[in-house]
Amino acid sequence: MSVQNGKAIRLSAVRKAWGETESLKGIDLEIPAGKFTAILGPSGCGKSTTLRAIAGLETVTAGTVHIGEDDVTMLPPAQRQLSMVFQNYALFPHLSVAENIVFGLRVERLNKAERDRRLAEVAELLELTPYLDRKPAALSGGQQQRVALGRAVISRRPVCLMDEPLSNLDARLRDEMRREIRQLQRKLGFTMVYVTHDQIEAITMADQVVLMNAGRIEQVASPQELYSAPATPFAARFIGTPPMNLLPAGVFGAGQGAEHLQIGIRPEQLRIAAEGPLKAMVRNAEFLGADTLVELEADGTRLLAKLQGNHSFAHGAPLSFSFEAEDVHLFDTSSQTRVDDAARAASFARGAS
Amino acid sequence: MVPPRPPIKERPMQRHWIHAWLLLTPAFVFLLAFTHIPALTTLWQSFRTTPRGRRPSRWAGLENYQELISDPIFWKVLGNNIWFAIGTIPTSILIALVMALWVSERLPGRGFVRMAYFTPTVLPMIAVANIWLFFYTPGFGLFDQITGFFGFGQSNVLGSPKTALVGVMVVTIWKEAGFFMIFYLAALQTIPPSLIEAARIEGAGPWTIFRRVTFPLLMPTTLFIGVNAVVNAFRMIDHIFVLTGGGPDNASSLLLYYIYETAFRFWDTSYAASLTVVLLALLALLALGQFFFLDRKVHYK
Repeated sequence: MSVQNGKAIRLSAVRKAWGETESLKGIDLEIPAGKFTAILGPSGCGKSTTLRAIAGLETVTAGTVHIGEDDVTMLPPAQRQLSMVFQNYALFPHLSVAENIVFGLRVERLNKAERDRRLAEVAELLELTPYLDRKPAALSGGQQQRVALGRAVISRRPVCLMDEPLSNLDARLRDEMRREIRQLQRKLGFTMVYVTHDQIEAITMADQVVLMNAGRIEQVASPQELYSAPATPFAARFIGTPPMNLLPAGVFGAGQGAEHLQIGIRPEQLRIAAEGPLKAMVRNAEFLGADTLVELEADGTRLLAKLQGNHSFAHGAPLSFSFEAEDVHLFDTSSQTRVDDAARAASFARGAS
Repeated sequence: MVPPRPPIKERPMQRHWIHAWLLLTPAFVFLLAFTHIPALTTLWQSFRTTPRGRRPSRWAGLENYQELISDPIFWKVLGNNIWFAIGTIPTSILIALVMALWVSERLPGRGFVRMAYFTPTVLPMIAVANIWLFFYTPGFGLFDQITGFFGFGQSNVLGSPKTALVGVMVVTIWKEAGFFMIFYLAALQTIPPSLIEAARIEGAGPWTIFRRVTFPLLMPTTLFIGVNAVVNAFRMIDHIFVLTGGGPDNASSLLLYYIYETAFRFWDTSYAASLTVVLLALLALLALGQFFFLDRKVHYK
């Protein structure tokens, strides 16, 4: 199958309101051509609405949508040169697998020879050849998913949108399809916009992750950067399991000039050390196999530590923890933004006072 | 203390079917008394002569059916009925579909429009027929007032043999379309919106979406409505009572109305019975044909 050239997508100041409720509150977003971009966020954050605004299935209340060089804000979905995979696959139940896949080509009135050639190619690529005459109802969830993918890629459009395509599959199949979708995107080179609420999907598949919350974009970054340098407390807690500990400065006994800061440390980056700067009491410990998850309390604030190996602690036992200066994330409590202050981070790691 | 129930296995099995029969009996008695026994009696009667005065009923074999074949009124009425079916069924189904597509869109006052379309179905048929009788009244009926306003002469739709059947057909379409619309409306709501969206993304326009997605998914409903419409077309009687009385010269008489006239006006009950048997056979044939012929082309979920 020939490689297609993806197109970049640009959203500028996009708003979407339904009466009083505003589900998109000004979205500015650049989606690079030929890359895999995941839109991640909790349910109701506006990620699906963003996708539907790109697709043209929702008209935007304000702002513009560009695909490539063209302003498509007012164009119907058919004229935007994109394909889409829906959460429930949206396969036509009365049509066979082959007819489902070539639906768009028939609408375009592509001649039958070319249609059959491309169908054979796509069926081969997605291992659907034995099922072409079946109806979707006679396929398993994973096969239905492949048919939906086939329908999306056969027309070789430069942009492909996916709305939580894996959420109806079981865990094992989901892992498999995740790799397959990623490979497909790399191989064919289209621009992928992939909506998900699952951080694992976003982090493992995407070149760029767009983290959304309550109708706004929290952060746009590579998966690595999202993990190592979250831009907001929300991003810090949304990425990573268990979520990052966000602690008031008081926990470290540090007073002067640090009250406006929240100190973020991931549970997996805490280590037990006799004279560590973070002192806490054990509330509960859960053995997870490879590690132990310890629930702690420090100065009235709950926090978690993920320790390697098996540990058992008495309830109420005092523990001290140390951590590296570069693993400390500082956030301003009033502006809810990241503060890059290496000196102060180091002082927390040393045990400021 | 409640004694523990014996396990189901230990209870005698007969008890179950006795209960089952007891529960079925009331409904079964009514079905037998009002459906099955009359049906068999009708079949039996159709092979006998009508008892008149002191002459009792006797076995007649196929005499009634021979009479039927040579009865010009029977053929006329059957022809009327076929024209009636051809004229009303496709039109009312088409109108129902168009109305359903129209009111399933998001438009202001949708509830009101839906109700308006459904009203003819709710109204009693005799009342409906009376309303239309007024519409059709020569001279000062609604239609003549409108056409008169534009300078056309009077018309007598129901009174002339050429147009009487058409007049009845129009009323039937008007009434049936709203009823069928409800089925289409219900079926339309079961089509997931993402199917339509997927088709739109694939570049399909409204007509293609209808032809390749919506209509095929409505086929089971269309088949159901079709069978119903055929049965209704051959059961039509109440409008004729009020509108035309079958006239003039049987121009608007349909099979069931002719059966009624034969049985309860001319009191030729045996001949009416054989007409009924023919009507039932015809209906059974049509329904079977529809199911076997169309079923293969219909996608069921």
